[in-house]
Amino acid sequence: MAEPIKSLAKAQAVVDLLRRNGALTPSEIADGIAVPRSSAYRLIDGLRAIELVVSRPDGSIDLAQRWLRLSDASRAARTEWAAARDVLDGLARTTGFTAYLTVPRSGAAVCLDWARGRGIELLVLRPGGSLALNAGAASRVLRAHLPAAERGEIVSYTPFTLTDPGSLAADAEAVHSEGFVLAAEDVTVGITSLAVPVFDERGGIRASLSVGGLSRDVRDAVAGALPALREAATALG
Amino acid sequence: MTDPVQAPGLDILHKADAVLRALERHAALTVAELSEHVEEPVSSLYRILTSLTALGWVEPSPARGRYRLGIDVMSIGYAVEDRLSIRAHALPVLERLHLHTGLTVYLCVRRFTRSVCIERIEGRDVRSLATLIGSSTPLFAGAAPRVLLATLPDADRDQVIDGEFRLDPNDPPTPPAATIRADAETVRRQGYAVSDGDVTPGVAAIGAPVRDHRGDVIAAISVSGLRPALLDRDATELIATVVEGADEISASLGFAPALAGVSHG
Repeated sequence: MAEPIKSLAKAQAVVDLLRRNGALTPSEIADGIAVPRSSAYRLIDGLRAIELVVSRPDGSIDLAQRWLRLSDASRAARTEWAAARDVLDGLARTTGFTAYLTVPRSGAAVCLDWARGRGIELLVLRPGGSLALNAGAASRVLRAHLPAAERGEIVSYTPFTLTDPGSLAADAEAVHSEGFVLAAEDVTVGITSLAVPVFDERGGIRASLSVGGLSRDVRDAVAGALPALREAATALG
Repeated sequence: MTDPVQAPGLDILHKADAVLRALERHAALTVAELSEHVEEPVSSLYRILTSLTALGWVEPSPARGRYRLGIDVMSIGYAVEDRLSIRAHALPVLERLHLHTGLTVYLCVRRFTRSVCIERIEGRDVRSLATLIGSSTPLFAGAAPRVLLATLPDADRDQVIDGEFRLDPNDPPTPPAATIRADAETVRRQGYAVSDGDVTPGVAAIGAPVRDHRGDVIAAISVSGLRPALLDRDATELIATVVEGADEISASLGFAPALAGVSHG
């Protein structure tokens, strides 16, 4: 692919910097994307003119609320997952847990949609939120089916997160032989998730479907939830 | 603000913005359709689309030849939403309301069948023990709680009204469902609630809804004080002040009345 237009690439770098760090001063932005102050000011002015960033009263620069609407529009445009809404609602209803649809993107697992269950709200993963591919049932199912180059960085969230290559290789092997992951407390202590893969018609990995809840509840419900997940994954695939 | 004409290279940002705006409204478009919306020839538009795709803001749609907003846009929205603190956005407005009215000012959010106070600035006259920060009130009593109930989507509102309110020992008794429902209709139609001693005798309050970027009510603000200070004279001006304050917080949270609910649910 051709090099992106330079000023667009820099504008995206500013937005990405703000996404990762929150509001920054213009000079922090200049340092963060390695451009002279004058260029940073010009970029900020341009981004402000098109309402992608705003100046806060203290002079720092932040992402504009407009991103919330863009984000909703991006989510709504995912028509290939139109059927997922009902499937997730059905999973949440039958299992009582919060159900998630997650896809791989740039070495991470990004949640596309969810349906809230009856229990506590798991705020770890909401639409647009992402996790490293080595943590959480949804992520680990995806990781096992991705080529090594697309598996991204390893991140440790809790003492129970799998981080060493040996455990991760064994985990991937188990995914291939069992067809699911039960991930205990590897993203949030006290929370366990259960996930199965969603394949496309040629057997490639498309997404994962998962449910999550309090560890004891999920452990006790695996026998019922796993067939429900598998059926839902087949319906979506 | 820099004039784009004087800032070489930034002109392209305006074209990129036109692409984002078109895709925000139309979900997925072909290059030809985009070319019409953006008023840019296909050849140069193609270069912008290629760049935006490489940068993750736009992606090819599974429908052949169409483009849509990229998945990275969801991640950026997530980060923005994650850092949105209702309290931080509301506080300057609450402080101003407090300064102008001298009344106690509250910010409340719904938790199941109750309203929880998450911010409060003390008024001059009276210290109401009924609503301290962290304390909660059933959704049928008090100005802010009744706003939160009235503005719920119909199905959720019915579920709350027809279900059982969780009550604490000092709560007022639950009115009949029909009474609550009628009040909710009135409050929804008016866009604000007036409370006259329904939580604490002799204490009145005026409440109004705070909306997020989707138009959903996520909180309510209220001003409260001794009845004569609020209701003995014409309350119209005070009501307008509270509603304007709530609208201002909504706007800072990304609510744009003209845009909400138009392009997508």
